[in-house]
Amino acid sequence: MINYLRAEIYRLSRKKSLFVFLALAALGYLLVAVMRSGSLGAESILGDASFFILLPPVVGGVLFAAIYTDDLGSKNLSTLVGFGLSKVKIVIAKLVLALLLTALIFGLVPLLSYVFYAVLGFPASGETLGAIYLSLLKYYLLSVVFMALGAVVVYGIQRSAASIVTYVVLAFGVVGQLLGLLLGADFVNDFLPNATSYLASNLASQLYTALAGGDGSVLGAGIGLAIYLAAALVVSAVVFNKKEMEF
Amino acid sequence: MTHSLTKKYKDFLALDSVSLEIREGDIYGLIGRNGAGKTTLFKCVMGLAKITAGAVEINGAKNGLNSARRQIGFMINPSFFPYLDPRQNLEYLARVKGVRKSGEVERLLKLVGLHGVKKPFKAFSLGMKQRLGIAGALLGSPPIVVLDEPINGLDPEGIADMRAVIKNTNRETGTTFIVSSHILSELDLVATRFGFIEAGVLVRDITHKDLHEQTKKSLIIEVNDVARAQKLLKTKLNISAEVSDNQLFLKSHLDQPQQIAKTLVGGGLELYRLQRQEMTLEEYFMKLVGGHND
Repeated sequence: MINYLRAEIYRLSRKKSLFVFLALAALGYLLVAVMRSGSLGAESILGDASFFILLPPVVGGVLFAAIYTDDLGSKNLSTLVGFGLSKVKIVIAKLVLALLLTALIFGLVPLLSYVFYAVLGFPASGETLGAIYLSLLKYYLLSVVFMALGAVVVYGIQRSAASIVTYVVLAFGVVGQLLGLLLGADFVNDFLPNATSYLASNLASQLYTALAGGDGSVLGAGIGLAIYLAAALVVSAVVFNKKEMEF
Repeated sequence: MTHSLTKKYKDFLALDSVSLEIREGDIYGLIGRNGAGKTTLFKCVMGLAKITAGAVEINGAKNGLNSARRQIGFMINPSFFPYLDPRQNLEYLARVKGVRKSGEVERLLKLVGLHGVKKPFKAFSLGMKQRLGIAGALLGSPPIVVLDEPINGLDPEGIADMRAVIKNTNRETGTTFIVSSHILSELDLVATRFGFIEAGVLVRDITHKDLHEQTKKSLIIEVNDVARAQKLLKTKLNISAEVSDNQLFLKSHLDQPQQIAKTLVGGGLELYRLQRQEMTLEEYFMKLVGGHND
């Protein structure tokens, strides 16, 4: 599995289009930061954090495609299985890669902001930077949960377009909102308890609130999100094992 | 080795109890029409398709085949990452396979004639893709290499190059090759054994030598005096020869060309040509599977 992770890191580090996209996204982020307010100050960096909501669908989507769906176009999953890699190890390694790469890329965003504002003469305090990273954690966790769920389609259907659409629909909150309406509806709650608090987006918000010193349990929300990842991992492995590989 | 390997896709029987033994050091030519089951057989061996019944055995292992499969290099429809160049694609595979041998990627790129090529895989011609696929299969010098239609899309020079790569690698390292191809005359030049597969059934498994014993058709003789030669063969060797277009055709004694030549020359005839005529591999295949040779 380590060999495979090394190979994937090598591949992604040579994917020029990924770096071009990230550079353009960073540039766009800074341009919007400048255009957003006429007056830049020490608190602007906190305001910019509201743009983090775009990280899961936009940056997360590109990372999802780079990590997962490149394999489909190049039929690399068949190559890997043919070379004797177990399907379970492939599924686990991909999720580990998604966790690491998303953490790395997302983690750079506050640093980018910090440097930008520091150059303008408004260096953020450690406390401010901590608050930004806490806010980022929520979107990071949501992104990796959505990637893990999107991966089920990658392994089960093995079609790039369907996989990316699934991820984007999840990341824009479409599925979450529909499920929220359904699970919170009176006719459902007549025979089922209201389960909206167990939706991934709500669990991520609960975790953020609890870590920020508010109500809620860090452990409970953390376990809830971990169950999402574990369940997606298990389902991915099962559907992948059942799937015939195509050349 | 496969034991009564059977593969069904719903109601379609893709492989029907195929028992195949490939010996160490063989260059095994797998021959069959489109849809005969060649690629399905490869997919079952490589673990890409679930086996309906029977078993696959690799180097004595029937269970835990994933580790045995690491000893196999394969190329089935060469596919690589489109944005990586050939060296980067092989470096990727080298990492996946845990190949740490210094210079291995460069050696293979030189071997298949892609050394120095910087353009990405998406800009490759079919022939270049095939070459890279073969390099990927040979990466890490696996003891077994599976190549599905390796010369598809190659120009004549490329075909000769690939033939040399397969033969030299087999001779120098003892690598076992399993090769399928539609270009049967080409397969005839490299394979040491053949398997003929038709409608999912292995209809014949035969060595190169035995195949050529079976494909002998006649001896063609050209001499300065056909009538005298015919008489000489009858009286001295009791061989009946047919005459056509000033040539003699022998349907028997095909293994005695030296004795025949000696008799003719010893009888004072000038011998211009003595050639054994054989069925081509294509003719043999068509005869075997009952197809039509257009």
